[in-house]
Amino acid sequence: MSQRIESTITIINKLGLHARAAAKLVNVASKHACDIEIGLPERMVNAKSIMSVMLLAASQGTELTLRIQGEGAQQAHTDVCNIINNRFDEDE
Amino acid sequence: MNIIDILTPEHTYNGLVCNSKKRALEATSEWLADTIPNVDATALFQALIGREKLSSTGFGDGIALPHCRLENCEQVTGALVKLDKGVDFDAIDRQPVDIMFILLVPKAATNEHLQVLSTLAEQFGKQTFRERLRACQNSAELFAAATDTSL
Repeated sequence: MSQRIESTITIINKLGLHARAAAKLVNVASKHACDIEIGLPERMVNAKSIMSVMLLAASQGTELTLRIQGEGAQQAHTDVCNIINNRFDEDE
Repeated sequence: MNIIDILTPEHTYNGLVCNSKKRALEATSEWLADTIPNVDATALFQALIGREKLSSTGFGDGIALPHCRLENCEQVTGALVKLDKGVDFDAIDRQPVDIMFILLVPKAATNEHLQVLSTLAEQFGKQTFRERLRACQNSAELFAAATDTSL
């Protein structure tokens, strides 16, 4: 079933979307076949590309937009939100 | 922020001969420690390799961005090393790495670190930029290409 989901999410870990956090996000996103974009409304990028995700320079407190389209969008949305809300498994 | 804000000709090296990721990071650490005050080669190598063990900084298309936070590092310091041939780097796309941009970051510089990563991702994400770097024949050319903001 093809779906389209758009929502916002705040980066809450202390270090923000640094390289390793970005790699974890990309890893989760890449497990899903649907299209996943993340970013600011004026600069959305492919959440499956680490160089693109690092471009965002999203620090703690940054509100990002998530736009997911295609098969399994609901599960992809849940998984992407979980890794961000779990602070990428970092301590703070 | 631009690459020229963190890179100097002294920290740009074209044609490092090595046959492994470990050796590439080791040789680079020794070379950098000679020119940066208060940075010890062994400690730097351990920090870089320790970071790689968490997950590879080989981010695809032959590019790696090895980095670490250092206690006694006063400013974000970059170094650009082009290898004479690609080496296995456990990169996310499984491709060998032939260009490393090394970043030494002060412990506290969280937002600056993100800005630097963003600039590097923007430049190294461009195929034209990567091709220009690969075509360089010596370190001076490599520095000029890396800091050319028109690319």
